[in-house]
Amino acid sequence: MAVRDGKMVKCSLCNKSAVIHLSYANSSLCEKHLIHSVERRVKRTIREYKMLDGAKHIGVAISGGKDSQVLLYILHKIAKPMRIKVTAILVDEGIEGYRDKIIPEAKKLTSDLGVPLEIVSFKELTNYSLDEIMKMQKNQRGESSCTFCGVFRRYAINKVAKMLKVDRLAIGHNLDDMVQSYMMNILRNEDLLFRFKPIGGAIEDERFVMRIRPLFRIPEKEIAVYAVLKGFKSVFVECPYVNEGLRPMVRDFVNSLESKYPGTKFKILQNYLEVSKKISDQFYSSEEGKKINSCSICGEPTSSSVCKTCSLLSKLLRKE
Amino acid sequence: MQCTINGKKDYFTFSGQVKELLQKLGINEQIVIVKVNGKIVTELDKVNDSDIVEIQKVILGG
Ligand SMILES: [Zn+2]
Repeated sequence: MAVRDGKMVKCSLCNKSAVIHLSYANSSLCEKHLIHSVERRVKRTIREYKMLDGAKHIGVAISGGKDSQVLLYILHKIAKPMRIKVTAILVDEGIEGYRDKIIPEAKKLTSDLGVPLEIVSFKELTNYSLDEIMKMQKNQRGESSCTFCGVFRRYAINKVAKMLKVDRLAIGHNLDDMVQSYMMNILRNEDLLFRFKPIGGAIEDERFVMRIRPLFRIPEKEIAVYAVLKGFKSVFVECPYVNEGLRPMVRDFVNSLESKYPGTKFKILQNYLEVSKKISDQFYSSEEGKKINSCSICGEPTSSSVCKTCSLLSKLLRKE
Repeated sequence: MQCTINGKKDYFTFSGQVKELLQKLGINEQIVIVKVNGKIVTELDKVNDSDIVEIQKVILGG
């Protein structure tokens, strides 16, 4: 193997073997320089978007996947010297053979870092696990598992965040997530552009905790390599519902575009940031944007009379 | 070459760039980490028949 060293790709910053090639930047990085570069870019994003200005307590939504592990690790590193408290929040959707594998890993990482971990389950919040919801949906042309999961996760995380009195809620969305969400938003002609902004939330309201996405400019592969280099486990546990829905197709499409035209993902992200800013400025100056209701069933903030969680749940119960 | 893809071991003949290997297998380089003889490499690195290659899908989740 040593004899093959001459053929190995070298880091653009030093002479060590590269662990990643960044085609959008036409450079390659070794282990040390990739870790350094990811951390530096996250710090820059936090500073540029003033994500932690005035923050006292950050809730970090963790799924057990690589993105949230990396997010928790880096945020903990940044928050500690700033004396900002960090708490990890894990939502247990109730997916057999998936979550039960991930929870021990989440416990290990949080205890290694000395970060408290708060676990909340769909079952305790809605009386149903995701498995039970999907069983009830069988033989019906219902919503996809990812729709239920997404809506309930947001609801659960928001609930716990308020209970813990966190003033920031950090989400592990990376560049690929942002780009896929934007593309899906276009393909479905949905009106959810604010939902994944780098900072902020669907509706800016004191009843919602401010969401921050410090990884939103980091490509997913770089996060994956970072996670492997740091030795984070459970990177390879796949959600059994993963193949449902449009996202995998969009992901493959965007990835093949990126391979052929490096930098495409960043261009799509830039377009999203510009478009969403225009739409959001327009929305908040409109009458509709000024009135935010409380859900008539659960009291959570919503832009209509019943929030999306309660309307999905009641649709489900009617089918029973 | 011994090539393990997502934990499944396989043997075939290949010599060239990792990128070409992935193309041949129909795998996009952005969703996998490739290790050659236990070390993470880039898609521009070269492999030959005496190498032990590991391809692991790392981009998961819905
Ligand atoms: Zn280097």
